[in-house]
Amino acid sequence: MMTEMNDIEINIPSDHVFERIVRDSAVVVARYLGFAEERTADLQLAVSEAVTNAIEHGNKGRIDVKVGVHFLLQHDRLAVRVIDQGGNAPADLTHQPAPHMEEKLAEDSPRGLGIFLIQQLVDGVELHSGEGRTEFTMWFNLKETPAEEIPPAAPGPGAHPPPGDEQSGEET
Amino acid sequence: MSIMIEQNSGLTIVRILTDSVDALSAKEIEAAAGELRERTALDFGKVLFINSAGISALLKLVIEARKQGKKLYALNVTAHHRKVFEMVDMLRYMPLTTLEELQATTT
Repeated sequence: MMTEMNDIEINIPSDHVFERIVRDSAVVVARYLGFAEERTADLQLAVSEAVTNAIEHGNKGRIDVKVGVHFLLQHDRLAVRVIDQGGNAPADLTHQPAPHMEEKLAEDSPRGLGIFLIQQLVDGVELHSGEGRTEFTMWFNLKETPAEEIPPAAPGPGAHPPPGDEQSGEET
Repeated sequence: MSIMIEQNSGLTIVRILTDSVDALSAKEIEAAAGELRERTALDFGKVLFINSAGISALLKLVIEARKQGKKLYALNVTAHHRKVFEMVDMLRYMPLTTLEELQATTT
């Protein structure tokens, strides 16, 4: 069965209140695609981190500036693209070393763990950043979420068969 | 209200009442820094989600506990949150335990 979901787009004001909307949406998408619960939690956290980054560093917390989030299904993988209006993001946004916790503990406001966590949770990241726009894309391989990993009670009402059970269709 | 504090002799239990330890609940969780005793246990039993902004709030508690020479512990952590804590080496500073273990050693 070909899934009906190819592209979902959400736009939120740059406020942490609305990050929760995107994070909850990520769970809905993951369950729709038949992700196992642990993989669903990984997706939820990675999306939360990317959106938080876009709110705080991309859009500088300006509530009138939107963060866009696209969930794109492409054959055997899910892409989550987070778009802010910051631009010229640092290249290390795609590669952060493991944190030195002793150094973090020496800071008054220990932050900067988000990108590292994303790297641990996703199958790939991609960054496109220029004047006034940054696109941060995270990839999740669908083949790592076989149906047998899903606890019987995990999928919500109306959950769909996992993508592995579907026939491939044209990429959109 | 995101937390509820229970004090016993030498032991503070910080019950986290919100299901999300994130940027929105961080301030209230950080406020527990003023309630630390010799040993303080954070109860994550109702927590469904933790992100790096929430971990930052927890790290502030770790920092304050270190300054005061006190110890922090974590109770009722889910397998997913344990995995995340391990990724950032959090459990070195806030080890997992059970209430029974803590009470058994409370003087």
